[in-house]
This record gives sequence, C-alpha cells and structure tokens, in this order.
Amino acid sequence: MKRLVDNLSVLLIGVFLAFVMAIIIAPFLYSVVMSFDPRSYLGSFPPPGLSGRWYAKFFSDERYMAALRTSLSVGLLSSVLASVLGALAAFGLLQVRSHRRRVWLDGFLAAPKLVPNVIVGFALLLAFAASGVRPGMLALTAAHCLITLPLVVRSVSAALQGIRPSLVEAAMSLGATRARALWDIVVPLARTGIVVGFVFALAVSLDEVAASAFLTTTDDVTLPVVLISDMKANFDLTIAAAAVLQMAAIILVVVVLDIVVGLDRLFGEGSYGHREE
Amino acid sequence: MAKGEGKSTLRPVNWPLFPALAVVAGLLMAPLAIVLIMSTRQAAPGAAGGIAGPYVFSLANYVAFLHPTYLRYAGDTLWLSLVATLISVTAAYPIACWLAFARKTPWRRIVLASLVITLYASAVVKVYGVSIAFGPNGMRDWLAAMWSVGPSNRLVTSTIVVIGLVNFLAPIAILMMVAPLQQINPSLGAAAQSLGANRITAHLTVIIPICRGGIAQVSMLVYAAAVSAFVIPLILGRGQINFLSNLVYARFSEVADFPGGAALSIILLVVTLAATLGLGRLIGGGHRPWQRAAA
Repeated sequence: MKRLVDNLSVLLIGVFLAFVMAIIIAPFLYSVVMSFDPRSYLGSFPPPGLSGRWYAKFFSDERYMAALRTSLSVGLLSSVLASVLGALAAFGLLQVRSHRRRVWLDGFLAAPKLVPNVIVGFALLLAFAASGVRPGMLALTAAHCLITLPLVVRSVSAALQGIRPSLVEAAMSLGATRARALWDIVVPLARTGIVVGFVFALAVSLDEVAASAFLTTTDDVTLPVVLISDMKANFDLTIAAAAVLQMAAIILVVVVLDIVVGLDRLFGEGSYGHREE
Repeated sequence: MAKGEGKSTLRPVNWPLFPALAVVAGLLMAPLAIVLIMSTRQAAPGAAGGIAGPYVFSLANYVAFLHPTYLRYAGDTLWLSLVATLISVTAAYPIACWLAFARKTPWRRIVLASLVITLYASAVVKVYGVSIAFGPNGMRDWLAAMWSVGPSNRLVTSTIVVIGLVNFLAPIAILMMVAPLQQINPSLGAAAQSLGANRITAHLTVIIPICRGGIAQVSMLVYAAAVSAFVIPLILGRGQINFLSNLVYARFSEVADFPGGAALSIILLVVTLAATLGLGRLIGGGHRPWQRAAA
C-alpha cells in the first residue's frame, strides 16, 4: 500500500513538474530555433530550413549597434561603480560593532532591491527633472548603479562572513598599518565576492528595462529597451537573433563562473552541504 | 558575535559605508520622497507633466484609483501574480529538495548550471520566447481550445501572462529554496519513512514544517517579484492585461500625468513592501527577507 501511494504520488508530481519544466525550457528552444528561420515572415514552427540572415541583419543594423554600445558603456561603468561602492560598504559593515545598527544599515543598503524598478525609474525621472539632470547616459548609469549596488554588497558581505576583526588586529599587532592589514588580509578574502558581484551587476544592467525606459533619449537608448519597443511594434526575427546572442553571452559567463568559483558556492550550500575550510 | 570583541583598542572605521549610503539616500530615498509629494499634488490634464500650478495638498489621485477600471488592473496584478507564485513555489519544492539532498553528480551540476543560466538569461529573451511559443503560430490555439474560448479571449491572454511569469519566477523560486532545505538533516526524511510514513507524508509532516519559515519567505519574495513585473505583462498582456507597473509607465509615456503616476507608484510600493517585509515576518522565519532578496 505504501509503495502504491508512493508511486502514484511520484507520478502525479512528475507530470506537474514536466509541465513547469516545459514552461521554463520551451520558450528558449523556440527563440533559438526561430532565430535561424530563413523565411521573411513569421511562419509556423518549426521553420523549413536554417539561415543566419537575422544575425547578419542584427549586426548590420546601425540602430541596434548604437544601442549595444550604449548598453555596454552604461553596464560597464555602472557595475564598476557599484562594485567599488558595494565592496567599500561591505568592508564598512564589517566594522560596525553593534548588531542592531548593522542590521539596519544592511537593510538600508538593500532597499533598492525591494523597490520595483518601475518606481525607481519614475522617481529618478522626477528627481532628475527637479535638479536639472537630463535623461541619457548619466541618468542611466546612476540608475543602474543604484539598482545593482545591493547585489555587490550582498556577495561581498557573504565572502567576508567569518573574517573577524581580530584578524586585522592580529596583523596590526605584528606591525602592519591599518590600511596594509585591510589590503593584505581582507581584500584577498573578498576578491571572489567582488568578482561575482561585478558579473551579476553587469548581467542585471545589460538586461534592465523597467527603470531605463524612463531615462532614455532617442540617442542614448539601451539595447533591451530598443528590443522591447520593437517587440511591441512588429514581429521581426532580428529580435530573436539579438535575444539568442544575449543568452549565449550569459551561458559563457555562467560556465566561466562555474569553473572559476563553482556554482555550488553561489547557490546551494548549507549546514549539511560540504564545508571546505 | 562575542562580547569580548567589542573591547577592541581600535576605533572602528565607518567612512567606507558613506558613499554607498549617500547613493541610496540621494538616488532612492530623496526621489521617493519627491514621488510621495507629487502623488498629493493636483493633476491638471494638458499642463506640462500634468501638474497643476502651485502646490495644493489633495488626495484626489488616490481617490481616482478607486474607480472600477483601476481596481480591475489591481485585481489582475494581484491575482495572476498569486496563481503564478503558487505554481512556481509548488514546482520549486521537489526540485529544490533534489538539488539540496542529491549527491553531487555531473547530472546535478548540469541542472544547477541550466537553472542559473535561465535565472540570469535576459528577461527580453524569455518574454520573446514565450510570445512566439504561445503566439498566433504557436501553442495559443491549444490554450484557447483548453478553455474552449476564442484565441483572443482575455482568459487566453491571462494564461499566457501566467506562463510568462512562471517562466521567469520558477528558476528564482528553485534556487532560493535550496538554502533553507539545506539547513535540514537529510536523514530526517529517511527516518520518517523507515517509521512507516510514505514519501509525501514524510515531507508534509517532517520536512515542510521544519523549513516553513524559509518556504514562506521564498514565496513572499517570488510574489513581490511577480507583482512588480514590468516587461512580461507589457508584451504578453497585449494591452488586454495591464499590471500596476505598466500603468505607472503609461502615466509617463502616454498621458503625461505625473501626479497620477506618483500615486500609482506609492500604491504599488506599498503592495510590494507588504509582500516582502510585513507578511514574510508575520508567517515567521529567522532570516530577514532582504538577506535572501536574490535576483
């Protein structure tokens, strides 16, 4: 009887999981396959042949290339800024002795994560208008820096967990200056956290739409914003090609992260997972 | 933290915190205060930004929201997000259990890597994929047949929005749920089964009650992410389904009514914060929600 209940319930759960997995995976497959569609109209699935025409069109379209350049500049600039500010903040948090105060500061720094990006964009639009900052590169970079800051603080804080202030004090009692002790002891321990934070910040920035939509101009517009507005307007498969290229970049980053850092250290470690010292 | 550590001879250095605090204060808190003030201004259609001349306090923008049309948008936002959250979290539990308790085989590593890829894959990619997979040349007609209505019925569009949300939320839910499950000793489930429980009962009576707090918090964060979704309802809703976030944007891009957009923003903010902070704390769980606010 127990065996029967087990098997039946596993079967039911299996069917449900298969549905959800299909919802996760099918759209990706559709995008990838359709991006190689040789037809010039949106036909039925699967396409009758394969061609690279949409990729060629993407790279020869000056509007997309300009948007890609803007995206990369805003993304790199904002994630470098967020990494520096976030890493400094995580070092600072380590120095706060009062637990209560640290929790409050931690929560305050995480606030951009809790506010929907649409509201961040709208609020920044109003604030920039009031202070005379025009929409464009500067506004976009500021917005992306704010949105990605909590990611860096979190990943660096996680890397710093377990470093006690006494380590720094020990180094200083052996003759190091405070700056030297921080540089030699804390920074190397936090390096992984900073790199991971930077990569995730860049990934989030390159994909941001909801806040950016308020802050773009006709000249300074990021790639995802262009893709979304094109998506509303027509069914051009160049969008699929651009989307697939973006995904290829992400796969590359995740594989590199797995080799360099190990995904298990980022996701899925716990008290009963393996602990390495 | 041990008490003795407080007795350090060194003065703690706080300045590294200041730049980041200044960014959050200047680029988030102050602008939000402006939004709050803007939401209580009088709206004047036709004026620049839809703002009436001098500041006069009014709650008219909030009262206007009580119109049935707006309540329906709010209803769509809350209800479709709830359905998508329930599906995502329910599916996430068994997969996260497997990730948390299975041995570290290459197969597990592949699944973990694909989940991380889908987590960080561009939302644009996901939305585009769903829109063609369930478009006129895709599986939309199946959905229409399933509900036995026409292909452009609201019900079909709602289903596609829910599918888009699940596509976006399920990887988040799975990866966030692994952490609380890993705090559990895996032999507890085996012990329950050896004492006569079947697999389902072992989970329902032993494992789920232990990590109830963690599961509740994951659900709240997933729900908050659903409620604040922007691109998914914008593209997949095809104008038939709008979330509150889309209305905020429309107040900027279509009708230039900043006071109205500000009031909508405050309402959306309250809903999201209630989901992440208030309700999560109410149900319980040791961690502060923002510590796990990934993705």
